[in-house]
Amino acid sequence: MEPILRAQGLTKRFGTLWANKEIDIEIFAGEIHAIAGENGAGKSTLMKMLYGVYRPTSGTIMVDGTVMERWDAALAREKGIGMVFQDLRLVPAFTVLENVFLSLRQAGWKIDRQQLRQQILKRAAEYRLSVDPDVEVWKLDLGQRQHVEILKILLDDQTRIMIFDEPTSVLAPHEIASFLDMLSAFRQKGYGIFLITHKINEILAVADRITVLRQGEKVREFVKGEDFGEMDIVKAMIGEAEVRFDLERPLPEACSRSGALGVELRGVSVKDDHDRVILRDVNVTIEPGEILGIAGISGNGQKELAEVLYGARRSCGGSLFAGGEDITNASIARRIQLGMRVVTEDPVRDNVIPTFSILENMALVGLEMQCRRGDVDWNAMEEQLAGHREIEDLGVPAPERIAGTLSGGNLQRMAFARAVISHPRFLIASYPSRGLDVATVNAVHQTLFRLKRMGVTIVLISEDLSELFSMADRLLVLAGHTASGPYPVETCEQNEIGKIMLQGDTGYE
Amino acid sequence: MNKERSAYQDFLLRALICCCAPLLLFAVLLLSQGKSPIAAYRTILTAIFGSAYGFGEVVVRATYLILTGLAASVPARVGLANAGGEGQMAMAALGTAVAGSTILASLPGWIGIPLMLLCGMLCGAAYAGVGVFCKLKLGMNEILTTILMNYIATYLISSLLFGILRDPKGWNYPQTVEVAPQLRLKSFFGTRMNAGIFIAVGASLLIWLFINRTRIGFTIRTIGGNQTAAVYAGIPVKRYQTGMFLLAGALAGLAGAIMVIGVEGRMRIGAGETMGFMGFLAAGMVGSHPLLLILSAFLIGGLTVAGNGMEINTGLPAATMQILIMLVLLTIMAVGGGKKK
Repeated sequence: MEPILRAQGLTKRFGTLWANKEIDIEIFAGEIHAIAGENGAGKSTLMKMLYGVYRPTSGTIMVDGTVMERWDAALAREKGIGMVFQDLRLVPAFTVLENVFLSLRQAGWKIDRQQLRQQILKRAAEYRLSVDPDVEVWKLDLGQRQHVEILKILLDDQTRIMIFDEPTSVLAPHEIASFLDMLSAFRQKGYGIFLITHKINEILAVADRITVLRQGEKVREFVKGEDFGEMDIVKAMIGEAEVRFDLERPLPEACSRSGALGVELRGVSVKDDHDRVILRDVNVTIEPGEILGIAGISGNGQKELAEVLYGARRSCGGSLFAGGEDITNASIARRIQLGMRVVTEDPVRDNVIPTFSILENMALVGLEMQCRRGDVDWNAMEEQLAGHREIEDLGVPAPERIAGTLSGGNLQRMAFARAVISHPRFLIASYPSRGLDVATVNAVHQTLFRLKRMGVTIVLISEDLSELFSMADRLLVLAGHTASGPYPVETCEQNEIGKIMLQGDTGYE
Repeated sequence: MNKERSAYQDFLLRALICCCAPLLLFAVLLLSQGKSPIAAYRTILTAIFGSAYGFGEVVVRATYLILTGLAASVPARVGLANAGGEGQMAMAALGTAVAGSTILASLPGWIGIPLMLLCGMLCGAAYAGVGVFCKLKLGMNEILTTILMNYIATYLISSLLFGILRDPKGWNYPQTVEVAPQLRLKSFFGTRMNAGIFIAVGASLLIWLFINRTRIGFTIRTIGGNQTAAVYAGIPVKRYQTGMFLLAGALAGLAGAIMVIGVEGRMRIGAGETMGFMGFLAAGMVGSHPLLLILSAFLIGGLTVAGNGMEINTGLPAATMQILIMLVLLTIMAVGGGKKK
């Protein structure tokens, strides 16, 4: 049998980053093909190439055995490929019917409401989708909005392949089972389905074939009926990470703890930007001078946890203490006074002023402010900057460069270096080594250990288990709306942590 | 090196387009109406440079426009937009006129004039305060509230001028009692030009220094550059935004006060009309740069003054000049936008 869609040697490069490298993939009618991998493994990029949003750097795409010379989103839809994006693309002020109308390829100028309503109701009944065509989209919850997105694809008679990008991330736990039933119904009808996910239990429940990506490369393909278990998938996803031995973990007696700030969370709950509780009742004591690793697939509350610690987000329950002081409602300014610093997961968005030079950026909670006649004394500041060895170690760009003209990696190093030289007592470092080259990653790790020796408490948020196991003293795992642990690293296995990371929400089913 | 020169050439090219394109387009428009563009442009030049009175009038308008332009520029530096310069200026003018004919009327000039200016600034700031309160406490869009407050100011002032504040000896004209003569600024060269222009230019210099050469200015630029980063740096962003918005109101208020003590001597209906809106445009033309604002204020001031001459000499309505001003503005927006890449 000929696959509907087949891609060979698909490669996508963003600058120096290989988002996808030489990937072969195919899909047949009537199968569910799961694409598994951690965040950043290249799943979304791969699907966006198949859907024609991204242009492959190299590789070929074949539809029904014919090589496509030209490939873009319009052509992909013509050939019957539909995609349900992670960020649902609907107009909130329009009704369901109007949104569906917008997506029709041969819609014309006028809406035939009567006919379109009939079609929507027919499809909705067929797959038990709960949508009222005449209700405005803003009144719907995320699960119902997803149904609208699916309807848009179903109403196109050409559709043969459906791509779902992390579809269950917007669903409440009880909606997931019926969603998976719906996928099976689509399979029965002969649709080919790509299911992007990192949730193993969903994959095992419905997938006929599983492609595992890691760091942009296809590492394994499992076919239903073969002898494999969930641990095999977990291992393929996170890899056989090794603890790095070139890093010398500082001995406890070499560390001064006197200056470090300990933070305690008592029953802290946090809501995400969609006003849903993403972390519930977190209790953890972050000991002065320790490196506490935060493990978990990203999107499980890492960002929210960092923001609550730093005061950029209010908790919706519980209280926080720093060195015995109640800081639950303390301002960021007060936290900075206490010695708390943060490098967020997106420093370019949260920590950098694009119109400022590197030197000016370094003056924002980094260098000590030196003033002369009411103005910042920039000459003295530049001298001060030159006196810090981290600037060179971490490869921070020259002080006069304008931040907005520099790459994200450069700015990430700058934001990290700035926090390091600011005399921190408690540092929240979110993915400090993400996207950096090996030498810089090493410098980042050395710097973190030097901070630990100097007496700085560090919260290290990372998805890279080998990094966490090399660096952290204890690990807190975020999954399934809660925090598990902390587990001391000496006494636990990477696979155990990996399993908690990936299956945190099995308890709901 | 090469790259820098091409950036310089690029700038010259853009400047050239900004100067010529509106004039050419406007000429086409004039031709379509059967009017001679050459005669029209000659009229513009004579209206501005042909007489001391005409030039003085340009300076007077530039004074208002610089200050109302600053009122739009300053909040832009902290991520807010103040479209209420019009109302803030008018309310301040009314407040100053009333104060100058009542509680401040018996003071000598050396103390009275500064107090008049201060009074205008306080009135403008208070009126702007309503807008920033609605923004920061009630989450209302400040552009909309300040625009709407312009209308409130217009109608409130006209109801007062037709009502309790009307000068009983003013032949029934809707205007306040004249302020005490020692509180007036002197006019120069028999024109309406006065020391207000020095205050306005001084204000834009001071604002430039404040934003670019002080530590507080650094904080302000931080907020303008990336509000999230400012929050993460522990800066009380809302407090700064409030302060800058009140400062903006004070600057627009200064324009109103100067209008009363330098030109009008009282508040009368329609005084200073459109100067707030035009100041907003002047600020938009130069990307809220306080020093370049002086140039755009003179440009717009000149063109509005020329509008009156135009009406007399070519028979086109004065509003025709609005078209030219908008052409200039649109060209700058279309051509200048590329700079920010």
